Amino acid sequence: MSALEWLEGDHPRCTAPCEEHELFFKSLSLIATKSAAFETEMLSHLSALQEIARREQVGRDIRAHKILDQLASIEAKVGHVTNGGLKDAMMDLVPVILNARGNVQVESMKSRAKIITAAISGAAAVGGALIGWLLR
Amino acid sequence: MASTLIPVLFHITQDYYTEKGHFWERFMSAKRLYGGHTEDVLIMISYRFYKPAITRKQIEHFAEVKRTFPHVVVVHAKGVQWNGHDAELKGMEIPVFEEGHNAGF
Repeated sequence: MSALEWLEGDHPRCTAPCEEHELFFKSLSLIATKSAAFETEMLSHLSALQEIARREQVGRDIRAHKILDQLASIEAKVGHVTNGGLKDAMMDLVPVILNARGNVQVESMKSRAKIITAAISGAAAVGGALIGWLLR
Repeated sequence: MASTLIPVLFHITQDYYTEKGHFWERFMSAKRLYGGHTEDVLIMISYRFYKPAITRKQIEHFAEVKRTFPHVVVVHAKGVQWNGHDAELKGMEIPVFEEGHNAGF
């Protein structure tokens, strides 16, 4: 007999605790306990998953900030280059470098990018001076 | 920098003893949910709602949980009939607390 059937059934009025009532209340108590256990367990899972997502987001934010810092640094290095074509080529290299090095290796990429930028800038300066000398 | 452990509750209820596969279903769900973060969560096996007599099978289940999740504790243990198995848990480095969240950690 289900709890609903039991409730809808016709029961004689009990003047003392009867076995049927005892069983019914025991079942109710069991359902209530399981429900409370399920609820607290599910809430703990939801809370844990939310915290894991929050920590992952913090990690992503840190990596994104490192990349933005790196981009700002590259932009500052490239900013002084006056040769438009060369500047565009150098700026085009940025996403390629970022992809090649990966977000995790931003720190090592930073020094590498500095070297590349300095080398290109140096070459451009020498080239410019050479062209200027030839045209004189 | 070490992060605070994230608590995850496993309540032991009568279902654990009456429903076949109850433990494994929940354990596998937890493995899937926290697969990449097993180091970050603290599995809290709770006897808050049920105070059974501990069996060898249950100790084996604890060992399996510990193999997957390095941080496991037992809480609300007051009233549980350990039958000597609590020493095994301590041997597995699973602390047993008589109370709940405020039980000293």
